[in-house]
Amino acid sequence: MRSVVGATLLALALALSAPRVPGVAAHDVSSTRAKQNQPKSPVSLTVATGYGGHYRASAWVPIRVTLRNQSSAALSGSVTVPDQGSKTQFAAQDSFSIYQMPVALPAEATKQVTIYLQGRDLGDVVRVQFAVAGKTVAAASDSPTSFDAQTISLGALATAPELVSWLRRTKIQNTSLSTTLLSPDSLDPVAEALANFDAILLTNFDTSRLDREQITALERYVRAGGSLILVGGPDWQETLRPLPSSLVPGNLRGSQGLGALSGLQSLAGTRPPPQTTIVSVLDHPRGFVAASQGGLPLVVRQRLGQGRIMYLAFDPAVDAFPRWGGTVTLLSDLIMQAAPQVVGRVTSSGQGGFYTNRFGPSTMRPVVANVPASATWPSLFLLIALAVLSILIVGPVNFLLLRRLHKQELAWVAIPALGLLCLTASVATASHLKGNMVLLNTVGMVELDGSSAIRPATLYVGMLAPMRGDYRAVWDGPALPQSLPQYIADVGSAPSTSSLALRFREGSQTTLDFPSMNMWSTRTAALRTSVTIPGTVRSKLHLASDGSIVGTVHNGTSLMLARPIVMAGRAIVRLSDMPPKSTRRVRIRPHASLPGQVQPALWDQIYGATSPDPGFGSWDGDPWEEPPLGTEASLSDRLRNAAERLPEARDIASRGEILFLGWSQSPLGTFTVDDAAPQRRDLNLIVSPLSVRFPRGPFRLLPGTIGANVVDARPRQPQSSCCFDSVTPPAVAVGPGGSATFQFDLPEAHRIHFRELALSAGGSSGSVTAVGQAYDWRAGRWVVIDLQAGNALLPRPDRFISAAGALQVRLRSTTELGDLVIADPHQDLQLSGWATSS
Amino acid sequence: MGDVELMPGTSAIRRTRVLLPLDAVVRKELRTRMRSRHSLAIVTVYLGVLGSVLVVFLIEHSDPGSGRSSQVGSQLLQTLAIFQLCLILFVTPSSMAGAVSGERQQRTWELLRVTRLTSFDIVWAKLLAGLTVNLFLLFGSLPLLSSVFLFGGVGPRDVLYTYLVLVLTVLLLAVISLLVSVLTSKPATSIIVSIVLSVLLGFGLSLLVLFLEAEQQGTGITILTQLGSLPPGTPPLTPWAQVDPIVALLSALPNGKGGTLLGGLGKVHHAFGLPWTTSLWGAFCLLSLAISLLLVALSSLLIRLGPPWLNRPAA
Repeated sequence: MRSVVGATLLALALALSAPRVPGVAAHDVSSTRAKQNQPKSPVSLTVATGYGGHYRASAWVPIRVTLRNQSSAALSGSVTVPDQGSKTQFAAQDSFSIYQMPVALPAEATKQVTIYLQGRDLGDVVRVQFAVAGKTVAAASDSPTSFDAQTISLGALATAPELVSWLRRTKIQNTSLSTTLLSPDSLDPVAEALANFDAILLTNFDTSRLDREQITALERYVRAGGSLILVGGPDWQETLRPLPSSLVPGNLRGSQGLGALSGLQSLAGTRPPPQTTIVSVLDHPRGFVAASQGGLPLVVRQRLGQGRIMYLAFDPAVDAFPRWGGTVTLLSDLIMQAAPQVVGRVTSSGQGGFYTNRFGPSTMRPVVANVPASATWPSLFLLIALAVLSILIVGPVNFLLLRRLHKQELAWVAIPALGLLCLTASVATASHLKGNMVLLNTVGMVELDGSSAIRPATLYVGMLAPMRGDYRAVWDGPALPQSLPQYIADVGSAPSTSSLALRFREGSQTTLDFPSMNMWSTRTAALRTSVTIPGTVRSKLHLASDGSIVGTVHNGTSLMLARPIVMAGRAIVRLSDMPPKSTRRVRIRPHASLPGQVQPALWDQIYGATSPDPGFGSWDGDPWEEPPLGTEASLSDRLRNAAERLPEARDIASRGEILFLGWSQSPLGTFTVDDAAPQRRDLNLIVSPLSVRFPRGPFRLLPGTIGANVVDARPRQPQSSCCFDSVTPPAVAVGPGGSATFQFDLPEAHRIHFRELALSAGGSSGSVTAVGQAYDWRAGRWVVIDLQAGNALLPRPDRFISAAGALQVRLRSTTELGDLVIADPHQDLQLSGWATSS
Repeated sequence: MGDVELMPGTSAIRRTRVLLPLDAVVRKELRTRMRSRHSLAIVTVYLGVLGSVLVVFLIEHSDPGSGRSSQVGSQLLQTLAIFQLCLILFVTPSSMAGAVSGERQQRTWELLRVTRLTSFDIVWAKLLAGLTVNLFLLFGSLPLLSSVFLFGGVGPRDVLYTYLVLVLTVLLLAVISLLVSVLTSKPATSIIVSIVLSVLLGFGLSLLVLFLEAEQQGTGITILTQLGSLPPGTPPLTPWAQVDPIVALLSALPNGKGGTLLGGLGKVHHAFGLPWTTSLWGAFCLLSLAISLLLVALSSLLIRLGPPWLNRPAA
């Protein structure tokens, strides 16, 4: 006995004193040994991330992997890139995803594949592996850096670098310019990847070398908020003629020589040298003509979707410009005007809440993980009744029965037997009720902008697994996939934890592998893709004499649109559900936020107040205080939950447009799960901008009818930071000495005569403290307007409206007045007045 | 006990020697325990406490809109299992600690010692009887636990692993309590000492494990809330975690996302000094079994030798 005790003690001591080798360290050791014994890899692998090693965190980033098979045998394997998780201050993702791309490498062949990852998921180091039959045969890494907020990133499609050397002459305070020379090979046919650039410049470039996908990507890039700068000049034909008409703001018809570009004096401040310059000729310019000479447009800006196109009739690379003193001012202003989204980012950098925009699409996770209660949730009453019943049966009833039978000792058989019986019954009941249900919960937003039936869409997908195991969902189309991780406390420098949530495969079909799913658990992902929706929502709207917007809206799509609304400023009108091809009458009286007035969150205003309180709308982004998903007792609750968390819908009230919003519960696109059609639950927000005509005769223009856009800014560092608890940074925040210029675009301005026109500045954020100026187009100078009271009447208003319908307002910050902060130009700046249309 | 002495004949004695612990002592123990109202009360109170936990949990998570059914299922299993473990930490020592000291107090111990039962037979029989009663409680709670399947996120395998840890914890606590019972003469003393040891093994060891891990991480006590989500490369838990029932349970419980509550920390690399990777709860089960066998042997040895302080004649 003593020997047994002694031996066991020894064994125990040995066990507890076993060396403490961490798992990763052990793995590393074995890897090192394996490397030592490995023969030379048959494949060489190089990786290049982003554009010149840079990327924009908010964009999708191309990871170009070049593989060279150095062996004489063909190899088939897959390139793998793990995401590193959006690690932010205090928080990291609870899981990671892997992006895979199958590659067949013939003997001694070289191939390049491109995988796209969301910029926020890249991490500090991008690690790429090529594996054959599960064994890694080549690996490489890259360390890209993201552009900071002050960097203006420019992609240039030009034949030679010297053709864009003029960009070096731009000087924009508080910013730096990063230019990447692009070629047909490096221009990604993916609009979301082009979003790495604040603007894309086309100059002296044979655009016919771009394929159809690249041109489509360029247009989608602009419609999604990008900027395109088109340079005409002597080589305009090569550069601009192959472009589709939607990307050119007018009709190009030739070129001509101008003695001096005096038309640019209004932009540059000084007169250009008297040197003949060849300019391209644009007829019937669309948009705003910022500079012209002798009726010939020199600079034209056109809005397209959420972005804009800037056309320059001249080539800044030609000889006249380097010698001109006004070039720096001119080119710097043009760059700022070409990319208005830069204005907001540069001037508002460091502004906004502590948790500003930190979690992006992950806020959709609870929405798509939310499946109908009836699908998974057992009855609370039933569960409590069963619990009480089982306690009674196993306890008192069992004992009393056995005592009556004088067989108390049988309790040791009866209790385990009853326990196992209940367990088996529960498992069997649960399996019978839910064992075969694969549910795909999809929430997304589609914008019906443009004429094509193929619409860009973002779909958020949650898959409910009926049984434990691996699942494969396939989206029948190309898409950019992304996981929607949960955030956990960040405890160190490691970027992610060990849990693999998803494996993605990009291509003509997009595969989403969900490994090791638990029974009745949901896992979520987002797809940036396109869906086909023929038709659009058309409107025949005009302003009534009292300023109301009246007319009809027609559902020209094949979708049943539920709970449709029309939105003008902060005014909304609810319409009845719209079946396909149906028409509804609309009457809406636009209004905007009054200065200092606290507005309810937009979606609360539309679908009723949220529950619980405070809801998502007042959340400051702190991951530990994220409000739970509001209870969904009705369709309105579900719509509000989806809308307020949809990242794409977050700025919808700031568009400054008259918008139609409706919900479709029809599936968009095709999903299969393990080669079978899953049960689907879809909810998609359909958004369509509506146009409004001015009527003939006198009419009133109400605030909220026409919104303003930032078109230019002179950034200066604000004196103080603001809005600690704000999730969204202000659109513009400029310190003393800086300014921001806003523009109202009035349709059909040539036939409108304003009798009275007032500008109000303040909106919900209170009064704006700045020196106000309006541009007098007839005198060609800025006129000071008094905005101290929050609004100003513009005397003789017609002079402030250009022939193209532009009304420009400049707000300047001074030392006395302090920082200029505009939270939302569409709400904070409003036009109202009386006019007559001929 | 009396049955054994009365059984005549050599073959009968031999048969009795084999069956005796199960057939006689265990049956006597079980019959005595099952006939008392005490057992009914223990089972009912035990299930009542667990049932209350279940009901409170269900009411707390009564919002069907939260859409996290599978996570709720995992959380329910976690809650019930951890509560069960806490109950076990008190119930098992209470039910086992009087096994030998009780006989001493009732002055039946010497009678038992003069039978043909070996000291190992006595220990084994006492242990088996005590274990059976505790296992009743574990199996009796299965109907309550089975509600987790209606939420999802939990498979039968998760419940099996959880129960393995609980059963081995009961075994470990039972043998410790038995050893204490062997070493003391008064049931009250042995119950108190056993409960103290049980609490030390459960909560005390867990605190030690967490303290050592927090020291390694250099992140202080915040590590407590983040054990399951530590990144790869995190230093492993101290080897003491392998004999900690709470840590073992955490390593067996599902987290609702396909992993366990302890995540990567729930693995033991080079377990027992061998090139072998196992789960922490698996290592706990093996170690508990080994320690239990050792303590059973030690208890038998002590019974045979008799602790000197118990052999002293009363003054």
